[in-house]
Amino acid sequence: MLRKLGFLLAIAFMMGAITFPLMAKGQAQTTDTGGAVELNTLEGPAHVQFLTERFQQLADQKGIKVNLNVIPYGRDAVMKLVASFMAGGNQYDVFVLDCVDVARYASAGWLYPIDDLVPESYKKDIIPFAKEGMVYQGKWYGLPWSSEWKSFIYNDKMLKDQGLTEFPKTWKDVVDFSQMIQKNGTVKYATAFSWAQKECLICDYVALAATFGGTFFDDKLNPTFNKGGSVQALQWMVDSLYTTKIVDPASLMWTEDDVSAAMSQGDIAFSLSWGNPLVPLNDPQRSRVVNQVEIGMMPSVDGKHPYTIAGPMGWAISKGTKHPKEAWEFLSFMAGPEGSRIALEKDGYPTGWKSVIEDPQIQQKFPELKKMSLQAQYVVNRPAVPWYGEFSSMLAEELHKALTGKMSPQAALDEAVAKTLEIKKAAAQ
Amino acid sequence: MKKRDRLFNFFVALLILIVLTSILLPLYWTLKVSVSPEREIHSLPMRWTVSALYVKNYQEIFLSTAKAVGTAFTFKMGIINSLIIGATSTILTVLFGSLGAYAITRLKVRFSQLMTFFVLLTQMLPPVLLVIPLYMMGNTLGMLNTKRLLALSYMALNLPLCIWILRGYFKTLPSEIEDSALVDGCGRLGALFKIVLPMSGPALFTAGLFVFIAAWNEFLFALVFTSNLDAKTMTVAMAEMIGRFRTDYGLMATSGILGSILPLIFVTFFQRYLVSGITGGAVKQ
Amino acid sequence: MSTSIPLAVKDRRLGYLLLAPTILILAAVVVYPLVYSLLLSFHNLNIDNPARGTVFTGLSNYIEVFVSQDWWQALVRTFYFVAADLLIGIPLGMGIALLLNRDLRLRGIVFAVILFPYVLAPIVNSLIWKLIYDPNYGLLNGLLLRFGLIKEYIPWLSNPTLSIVMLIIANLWQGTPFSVVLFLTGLKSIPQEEYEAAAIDGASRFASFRFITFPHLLPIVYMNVVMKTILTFKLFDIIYSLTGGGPAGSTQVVNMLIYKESFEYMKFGVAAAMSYILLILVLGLVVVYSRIFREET
Repeated sequence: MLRKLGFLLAIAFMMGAITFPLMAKGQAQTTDTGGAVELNTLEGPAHVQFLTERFQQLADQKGIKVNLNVIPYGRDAVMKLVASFMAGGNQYDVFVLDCVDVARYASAGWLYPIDDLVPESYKKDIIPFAKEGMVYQGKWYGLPWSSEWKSFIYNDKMLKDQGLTEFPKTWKDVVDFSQMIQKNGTVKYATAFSWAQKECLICDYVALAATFGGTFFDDKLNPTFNKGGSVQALQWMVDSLYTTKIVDPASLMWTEDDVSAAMSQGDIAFSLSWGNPLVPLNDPQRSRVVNQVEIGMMPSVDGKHPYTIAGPMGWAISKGTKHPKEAWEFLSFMAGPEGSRIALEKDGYPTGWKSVIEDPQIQQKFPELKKMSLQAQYVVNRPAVPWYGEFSSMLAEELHKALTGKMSPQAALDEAVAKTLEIKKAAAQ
Repeated sequence: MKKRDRLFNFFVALLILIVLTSILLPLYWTLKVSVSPEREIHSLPMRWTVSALYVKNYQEIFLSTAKAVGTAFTFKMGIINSLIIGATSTILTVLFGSLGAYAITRLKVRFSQLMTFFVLLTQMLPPVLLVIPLYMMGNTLGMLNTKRLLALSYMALNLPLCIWILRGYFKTLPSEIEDSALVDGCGRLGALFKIVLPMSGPALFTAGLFVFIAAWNEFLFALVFTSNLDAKTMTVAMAEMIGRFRTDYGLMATSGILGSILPLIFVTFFQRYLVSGITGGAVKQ
Repeated sequence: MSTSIPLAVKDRRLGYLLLAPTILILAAVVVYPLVYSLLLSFHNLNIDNPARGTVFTGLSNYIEVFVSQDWWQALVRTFYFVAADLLIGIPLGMGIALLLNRDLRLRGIVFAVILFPYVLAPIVNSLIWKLIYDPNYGLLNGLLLRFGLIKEYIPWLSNPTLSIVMLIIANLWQGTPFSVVLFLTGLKSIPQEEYEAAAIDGASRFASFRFITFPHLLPIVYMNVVMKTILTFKLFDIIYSLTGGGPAGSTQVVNMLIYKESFEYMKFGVAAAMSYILLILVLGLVVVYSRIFREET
């Protein structure tokens, strides 16, 4: 009996001994290699090549080595970051931060304040909307890296086929043009939006509210979106689905990439799009509307409020980093005006620095930038509050109640304002 | 053959066909998307076929090398890591699970109720809750970004359920066969390995399948614990195909198909154990 | 249950030894997170206000959950999912298993196909169903339109009532195969002699199902009921990807709420409290099941 048992244990032990080394190739997070300082960062897979090149240049120039961990893009990345913060914050030294997270991370003490490190020249050079994304309660926490907004794009060919020479400047024009194009049978619905019950809905709503002259929060951070233009905007959204019927009802389950797909298939004539949408739209492998789409300006209720939503992102430093000095060197190398210029030229990153945008060489190289920077003067940001997560989630649901016809826009927004005040109150306790 | 039997068999065949079709339609759809160029995936009206077989997705994955550090190569490495982690967790979990289930069923170790409670604890607590303490633990032990950490986590989370499944099956086995072996001087352990386990093909298959798929398809722990190709699993590699504003549906579908092939090969290979069972006549009533 | 030969002392010792690896692994990996999360449920981490630090809050997290309307609505929705899964999925699984319980040619291929939905990675599964349900480009509308069953494309996931149904269907597609496997294991262990005896007695096919097959399968039904309850209460991936809890919050199940509380609101204490409430709830259900099926827990 005992022999059998011993035999069994031996087998189990052997199996363990054989299999564990197979798995032992993994390495724990590297710390200082005693010599060159190593920084760890994480980014999505889209720009790996460019980033690797730049990191190599940094290593050559300043002896700072950067390890890039490739991760899936999206809110999933937040989980990795948060887990690392809770475990001390020294797993990742630098990372790219979305504007909606800055308030929360800064309040939580997870970000290294760089206020004293940022030179005055930078502070004067940054484009205002990009600054709003990097600054919380007056203090700087990051340098702008990808300072984008949503552009209004339209299929010029479809418009010209209807004898329309200019893109619509008012929302009424949008409705009229859309109904014309739809009547002709070119498309089933002239437009579609990313109105799934997620953050993308908030982005669109904030933009639309501004185009109706509405406000979102006042400067005391009290919600004001159940009055005036903000209500009209929601009403317009509801009408566009059920009354004027120019928006594809699938929009309620679509996120930005579904809308982009529809646009590149030529199934819609107008849409909002982040970054520089013409790049994929003019790629014959991915698009059926090559060279048919143009960038316009956001329509508004009277043609005078062409506001759109901004989504500035920037590089930030983790509070728990063991190498704050090198981390700052990294930041200014990558995302300072010079680094931002290189990023724009080599990989199309929208810049947050005035000096870069106004550079005549840049303007020559990227003529569409001129058009785009017209829009950049009319951008709004989402509120920078630590409780943005709860707020956004709640507002998306309330907006959906109006968009699915369950409640009237005014009622839904009143409810949303009441809940916002509760969230704000709870956060202050 | 009686006419009624023929009719019945026909009816059965028809039902099987319907079942297979309802499973096959989404499978076909997945296959189709994997060989469609991006322009045709979102096409109005819906197309049943592709204009030309677009094999670039498959090429990308099979032919990618370390030089082109892209999502396709990551996927290849991810499959290898997932395979190692999955195989190890499954083998060890089923082994320890069998031992434990036998102890509870035949050796009167009073763990039964506690085991059910543990099943619930390990299965019901959401991974989002467990991920942070496990991350901190892994960080302290220096085990972050290792395959070991993932394999251990999967084993721990699935052992109770594995024991529970096996226990349920062991209970239904008549004990007379073991009794005759014991009388022959076999010893409890021998009885387990020579009699009970060979008869438990179906349960072992079921438990093994569950644990393997749980490890193979797991995402949250793999995402948070791994950072590079040393330990990155297939599911994390797949998630990287979701771009910021553009999802590569074609590559995603391709990876889905390729990611399913391996488990399905295991299924095809091991399914005869599912079908084995108590052979009639082994026990003289 | 145990053998008719009595257990010697060394056998009992063996029993503990056999359980040792399990206990060791569980202790090493699971105990710390469990204790951590349990303690967490009684505290407020004050993530946004680190100056206040971690505060012991007693039962207030639990109370917050109990008075939260969102929680109860999510719970009801989750029950809806579970009920649908049990009432439709289990008969479906049993039926398919009965169909497959014969000498099939190409049995390996058939099983591989049957298990494909179960094996497919959840990310891909969610995306494929998103495509299938897409009003304009999707398989479902294309199919229904082709066969003249609908005249206009239906926006499946944009309608609050419909979207739950569509999610249930997608979940059933992925979950039923495992049910089939469970039932097959049960069917294979039914002694052939009983059927032969029944055939000799002239029993009809239906009668032999009712008096032989079904009683033998009851333990498997029990297993299915428990596992499906657990798995459906855990449902998250497909809902997160397809609807994000919408439209208008109509598909928000408890696990989505827990996810939001932890990683979107950073209220880990509340998330922990929710998880433990859920745990106790399901534990209660399992106890009820075991009474109904007269199995020991």
